Amino acid sequence: MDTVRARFLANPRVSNRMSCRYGTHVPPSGRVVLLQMELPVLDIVYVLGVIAVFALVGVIGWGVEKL
Amino acid sequence: MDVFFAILQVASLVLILSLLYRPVGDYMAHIYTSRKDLKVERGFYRVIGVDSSVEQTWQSYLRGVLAFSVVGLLFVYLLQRFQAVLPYSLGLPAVPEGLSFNTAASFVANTNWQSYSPDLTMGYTVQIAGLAVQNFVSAAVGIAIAIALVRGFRRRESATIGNFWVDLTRGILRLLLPVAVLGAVVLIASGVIQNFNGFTEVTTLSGGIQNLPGGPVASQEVIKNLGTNGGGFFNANAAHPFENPNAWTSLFQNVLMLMIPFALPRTFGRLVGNHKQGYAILAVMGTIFVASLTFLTLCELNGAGTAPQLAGGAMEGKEQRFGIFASTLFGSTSTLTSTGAVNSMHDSYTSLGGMMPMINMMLGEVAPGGVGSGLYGMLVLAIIAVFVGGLLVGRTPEYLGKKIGPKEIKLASLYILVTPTIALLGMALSFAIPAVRADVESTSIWNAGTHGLSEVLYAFVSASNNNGSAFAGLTANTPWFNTALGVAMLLGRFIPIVLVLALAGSLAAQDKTPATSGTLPTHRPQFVGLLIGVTVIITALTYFPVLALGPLAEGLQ
Repeated sequence: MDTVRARFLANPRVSNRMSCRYGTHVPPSGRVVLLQMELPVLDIVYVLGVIAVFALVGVIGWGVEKL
Repeated sequence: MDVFFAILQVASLVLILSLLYRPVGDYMAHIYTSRKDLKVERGFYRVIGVDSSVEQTWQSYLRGVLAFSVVGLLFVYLLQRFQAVLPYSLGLPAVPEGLSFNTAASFVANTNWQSYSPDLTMGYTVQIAGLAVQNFVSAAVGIAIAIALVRGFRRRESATIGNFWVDLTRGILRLLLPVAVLGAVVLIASGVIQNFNGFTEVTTLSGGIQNLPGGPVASQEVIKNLGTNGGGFFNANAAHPFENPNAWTSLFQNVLMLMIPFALPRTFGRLVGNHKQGYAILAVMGTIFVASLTFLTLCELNGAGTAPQLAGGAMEGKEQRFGIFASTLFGSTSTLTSTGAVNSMHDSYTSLGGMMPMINMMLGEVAPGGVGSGLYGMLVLAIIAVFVGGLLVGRTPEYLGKKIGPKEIKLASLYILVTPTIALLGMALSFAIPAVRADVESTSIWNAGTHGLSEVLYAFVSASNNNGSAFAGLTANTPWFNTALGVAMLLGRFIPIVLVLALAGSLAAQDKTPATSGTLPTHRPQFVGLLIGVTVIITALTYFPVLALGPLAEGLQ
């Protein structure tokens, strides 16, 4: 690769455009990152499940109070 | 030689525990009745906004227990889920969701059931900041509940049963932490490792490469036993030479497991102002312990089959370094307390021998039981025994000057029904739901037939009684077992706590009734016998059918 072409490609403006053309090295926006993240469904289920179990124990405590 | 070794171990254990009984029991009584706060405690109360001089009703005490436990559980869960980005994680990935839930529930409930291989799953940060912390606090919660119940017997017409935050803090700072520091030093001096080395690659004599695990083992090992938690740093638990290097450490770990549970009757006797009551409870615990240990040892020494006969006992799965007796002693101690640590594989015991650890847990782990949970379990049984005794001879049901009325009996009856219901329901669902059954039979059970049933039964009995030991032939790291056992551990821990605190509140609200000629004496050998009988009969009536399907059927084959 000749020096002129190498310097041309090394220019950040050019390299950014080249990246766009080939769809690589594009820093995704925050919104894209958020949309691409997998929803931690199981984590949510387990956390809600834990809270539900403790709520059940609390309800049992309330019921025991009425004995 | 084996017999001499066995006698020496028992004699040493009895001697050490006898020497510890009074000082440890009296010290615990002092901790929970002292009016003075330490400087560090005052600082902690300021941080969490607690007035240590204000006492709580049983409902408020319960809210404290539940709030503290749910926050702890979610913290341990998140710690595991973020393991990959935590320091000192040894490059280990995040723990999967189901396993994280199971482990968090397990350690918060003082069970320490482990569906995973710890040295290959948990990094040092999770082990120290998550699991070891729960080893301390879950043990302190158990002792606090027992003390709250004892206050119920002690007080007259009181609306309060103590302050949960004060009891918790004192249990950790004045009891568990100092003993754990001393015990860890003893373990390190005896050969248990304590480092942050990760895995060390060594070349073996045959030229192979082996990765030796390191880690802060001694500091975990001591509270694992002292708090009757039981979760090992390594997969082999106390059969691993880095966790339990020699016969002395094996004996020392037995002492750690039994020290607090056997000293709590002394605390009880002192707090209710009658040491004879404490000795009666101790006698019940001791008698059941000795009977269970003897039966298990005899089963393993007389294993059927050519190999056990030639070897002089059933040696499969035993701690080969120390022999059968050290294995059965550790197994009995571990399952009669709520520890669940193992130095031998209970799954490999003879069929009747394997039934014994199960029965130990089915008894409710009351002889001597887990730290705190053993004493409050035994006191609930004592209430039932007083009631039964009263019915038998026509005497007024009273215990320590408190009338045992309909409310107390309802609470005690619910207490003894909760754990078996959870255990048997969990096992039944494992086989009753077709999809779950297919998964359990194809993935989890490695031994078909009666032994397979015993493995599932053992898992649910262990989880609901907060023991944590397992028949290791069962693969429990599946979505069903991680979730079902996690729920069983939480319900098996916290529903009995609700009932015990309600009982404490009900008893504290009563005035004391003076003893009359119609009062059943509860410090004499007759009552000790009655309480043993009630404990055994309740267990037998509840579990005999399922034992007949599992280990008893296997023993007859």
